[in-house]
Amino acid sequence: MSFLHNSYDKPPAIQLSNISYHRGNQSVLKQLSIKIPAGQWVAVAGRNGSGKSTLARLINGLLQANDGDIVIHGRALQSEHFHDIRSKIGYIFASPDNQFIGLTVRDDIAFGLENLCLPRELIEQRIEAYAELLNLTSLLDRHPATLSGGQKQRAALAAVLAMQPSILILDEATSMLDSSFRDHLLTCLTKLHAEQQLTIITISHDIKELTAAERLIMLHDGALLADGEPEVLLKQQMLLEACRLEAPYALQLCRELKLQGIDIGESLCEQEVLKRLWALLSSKSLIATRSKR
Amino acid sequence: MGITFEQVSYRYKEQALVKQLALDHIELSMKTNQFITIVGAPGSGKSTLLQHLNGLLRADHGSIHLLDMVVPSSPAKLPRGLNQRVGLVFQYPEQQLFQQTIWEDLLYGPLNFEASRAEAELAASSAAQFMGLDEIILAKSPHELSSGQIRKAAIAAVLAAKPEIIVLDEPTASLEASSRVELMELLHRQCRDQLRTIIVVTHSLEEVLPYTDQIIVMHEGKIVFSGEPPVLMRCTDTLEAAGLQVPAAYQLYFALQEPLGLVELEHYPSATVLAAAIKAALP
Repeated sequence: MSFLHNSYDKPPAIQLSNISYHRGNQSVLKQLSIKIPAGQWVAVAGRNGSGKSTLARLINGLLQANDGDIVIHGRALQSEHFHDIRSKIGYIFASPDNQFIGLTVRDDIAFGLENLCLPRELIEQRIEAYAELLNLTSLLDRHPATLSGGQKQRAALAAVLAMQPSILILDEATSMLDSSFRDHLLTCLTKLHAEQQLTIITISHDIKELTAAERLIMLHDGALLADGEPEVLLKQQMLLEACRLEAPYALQLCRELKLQGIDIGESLCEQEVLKRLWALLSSKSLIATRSKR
Repeated sequence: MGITFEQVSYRYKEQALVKQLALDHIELSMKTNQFITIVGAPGSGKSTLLQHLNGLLRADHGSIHLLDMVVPSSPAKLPRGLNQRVGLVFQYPEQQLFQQTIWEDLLYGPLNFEASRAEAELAASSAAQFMGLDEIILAKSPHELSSGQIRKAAIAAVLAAKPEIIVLDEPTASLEASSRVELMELLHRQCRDQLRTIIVVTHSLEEVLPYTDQIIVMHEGKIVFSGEPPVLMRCTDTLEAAGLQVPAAYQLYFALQEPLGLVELEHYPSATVLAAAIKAALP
């Protein structure tokens, strides 16, 4: 696949070799090997318990693998560089309450930046810039506990993005965001990814988020089920079912139309479905007009 | 009997540095035995409104008529039986499971509402079965469950107390897509077969629209829309203010409606319904 060829020219940001992880007697990840080139946007899908979050936490060093090697930007994760490597990885949890430390949103964004020993002026600049990016400016002096679920998730995102990590991991981080803001966030991520060559890993059940990525990794029972282009993999019903994903409405409509004898192919995008339907309607109208003559 | 808010206002007092009016003179009417959805941008007051339904938050002004009870503004006493008749599932359900096992959590509600041990076990068992919680899960501590299992357990614990109204704050967050559909169908069955009133706060319109009888949109502590979903789908400004987009099903239906002469919508257009309509309209 073309995207793989292009991306594999770049040095890997993350390289997992034969990673296994056990929780008690349960094997959560089994001999998993994945190479993620620097600057690639990878989505990870799979049913609950498939090992998605475990994979992300191993990359971030929150968990330690029982077997195998993890190399981040050419350096082994479990080495004397551990803390340095981790400072380059931003991790956003599904429950934002797990990562608030400050008494206000401003303090919370500042906390990570102060730990990076950045000058005060730069800290203030970053707080303002990332608050604006995530539409948080009016909430900067609020206590995180008084924010709604969606606002908390945005605040958590701002705190992590302000540290300008080279690898960003979003673990179901948009589950509380409404559709407009989720789209806004995807646009921001697309921009950051393009401008800063940010390596992004998004764990999600949302088709829109999965298709925003360049590459989709599907996990099942701790093993690699599929690895390829989202647009290709997400049309395969067997994979959708294995990951307990729901086919998007556009794809459902294409399939229902086919059952009705109208074959416009398959697409995940409603605009594309409309385009194909217009083309079909134009040809049908033409045929109808011709037959009247 | 229904649910009516009369001039209800609420302002957060503690912790907030900005003392915002979270509910601003709310006037709202909801029918019982319906599936009701509340949407709105983050911070619009959705969760605050929900927490007024079972007295977790108390209005500063106004009153709420709920079934045959009146929930007065603070500090007047709450009506007896309110907590039993209105069950609330929190946005973060792990906050409401506190027993050593899920089974004990399921028993807690009925026993607390003075059911006998046998009645409580029957109610807990029935709720567990309804939510698909097997004996292995029931024997576990809430800390041992996945986020999806915790959510199912929290809903089962509410169902076991047999409330007439079930209020759920973002019930599908962190669930897999097909589990979300299953959960919505389970809740719809509770509404249709058990004649319970379901009130759901969500940011995901696509998931709830196929089941929703009444949809309410909140913006900055006010109700800006209350009515049937197909009517709201035409109000793009209202949706936009609430941070919502017209779902794909409606977008496609509206785009095709005029060219194909499709009828005005009364219900959610499923892919099967829209495909059949397209087929019928083609020359």
